Amino acid sequence: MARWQIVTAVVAAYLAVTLAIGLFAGRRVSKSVAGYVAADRGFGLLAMYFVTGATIFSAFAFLGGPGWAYARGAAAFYILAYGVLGIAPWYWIGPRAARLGRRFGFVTQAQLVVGRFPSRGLSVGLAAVSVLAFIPYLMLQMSGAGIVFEAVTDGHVPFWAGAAVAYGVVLIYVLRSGVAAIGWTNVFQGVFMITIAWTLGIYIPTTLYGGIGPMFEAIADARPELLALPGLTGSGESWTWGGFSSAILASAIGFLMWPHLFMKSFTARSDDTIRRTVVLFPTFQLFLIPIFLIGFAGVLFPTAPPTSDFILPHMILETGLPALVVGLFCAGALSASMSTGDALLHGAASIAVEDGIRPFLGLDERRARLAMQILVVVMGAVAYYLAVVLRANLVQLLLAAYGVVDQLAPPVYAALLWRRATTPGVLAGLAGGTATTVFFFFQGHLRPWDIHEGLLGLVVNVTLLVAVSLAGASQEAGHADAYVDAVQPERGADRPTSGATVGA
Amino acid sequence: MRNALVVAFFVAYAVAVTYPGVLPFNRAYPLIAGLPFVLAWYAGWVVLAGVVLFLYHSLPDGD
Repeated sequence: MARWQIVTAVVAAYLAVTLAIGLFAGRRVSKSVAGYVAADRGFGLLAMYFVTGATIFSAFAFLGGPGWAYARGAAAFYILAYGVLGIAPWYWIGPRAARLGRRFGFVTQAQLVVGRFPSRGLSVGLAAVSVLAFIPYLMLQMSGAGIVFEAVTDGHVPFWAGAAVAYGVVLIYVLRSGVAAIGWTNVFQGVFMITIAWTLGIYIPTTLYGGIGPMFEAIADARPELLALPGLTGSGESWTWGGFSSAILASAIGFLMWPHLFMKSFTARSDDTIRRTVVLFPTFQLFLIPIFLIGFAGVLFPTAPPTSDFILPHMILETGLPALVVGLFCAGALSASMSTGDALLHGAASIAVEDGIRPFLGLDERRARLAMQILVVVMGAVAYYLAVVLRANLVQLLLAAYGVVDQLAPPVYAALLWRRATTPGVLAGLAGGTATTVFFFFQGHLRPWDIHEGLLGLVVNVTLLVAVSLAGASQEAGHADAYVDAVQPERGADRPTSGATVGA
Repeated sequence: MRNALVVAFFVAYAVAVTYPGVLPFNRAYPLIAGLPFVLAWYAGWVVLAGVVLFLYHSLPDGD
């Protein structure tokens, strides 16, 4: 058998197992919206850890990261820097959101914000911002799947077909089982990703250079500019400190605000599950290092891939590994992409229905669930089409999406932390911040010190939120209490609390 | 007190990984476990954050 046929067979087996797990998971969950969206709030620590890690690490990290290490050197280190900074607030915000979710029945981020700042316009605005951010993120996952397939099958499975097959599988199990499917497939996919990353990350530099140290010595000799911050831009010039630092800050601020990640607060079995996930997260983060090593291994390699996003499969193929290993790598990379893509697809559809449609049309449970399923198909199709047509750089797609996601931070934090915030304030901030971000995205040369447009948007967002809130009347006395009152964490509690908020 | 310390840690983290806090550590040598010094610097902060979070989570209130 030709190598590409063995690879395809291994990948087909992987996809079949994933699909089976995804379909089986759906059986135990109720057929309600809460079941479809929040898996009846029953995820324990193991599932939570892998769901969180596998959801976060995607084609962006698995393909985009080494692509940046290969082409832009130390610039890629921004990716290693922001994760822990970004997830830390979840330790406190997550349990609070979870408690509000149990008390008021929230299943989405916007429901929490709108609970505090009642406004159907705000609900739609948040839904629109979320969907706007989700599309490029989903696009990059589909691109990642397409890249991997095309590269490792020597072109026999072209980009558009690989992306379609991988996402066809995702579509089936998301439609059938909702978020429960995502949990258990992520456990499987997370284990795969980590194993592949560490083994290949050590194997490839060792095979090519005799070790990781020797590899970096060789790079420091031949191309020292790759090992000094802030690294290079896509066209090989020096990147700016403003660009590098603001990429870290914009990504850290927006990290927790991704609605599909934030809404995981509502699926945890207990507050302690969320906290333990945060504590364990740095261990997941470290897997970026072997991934970067594979990208660096390509720097002095005689042949080059078609684009830097292809460097990982390029190195796997060029270092003469057996077809079975190549197939397993491909499955690992697909894991990375699918385990995020499924959460994005599911999240985007849930949010569009719960926050964009339901406030206006009373939909019963069955119809709401059906509407979500239809939107899963529609959004998947839109992202697929754009991914195939635009073929943009994976990291740049996400970095752009972050500018939009950052604008969700002021409403969320204001809801949970600031009593004096008002609905008009939040609306003004969201609108102004988003407009600013979009403006500076298209007029990038106008950004002072190359600062990320998301941070510029935040300046406007927060200023308007504060000014408009203070200029108007405060909210009804007591309304904000449930959201803002400091609630002491329950230590070691593994049972959900009752409806009332409880002090320790 | 615990809360103030953990917030201070993350502020220090943000300073250490961005400009200008990272400048003194922005070099390839010496290699640490084969990694360029600056990469080891970032990895070290990630590990440290894990330790800090673990301690914060495990130790009782009141520091």
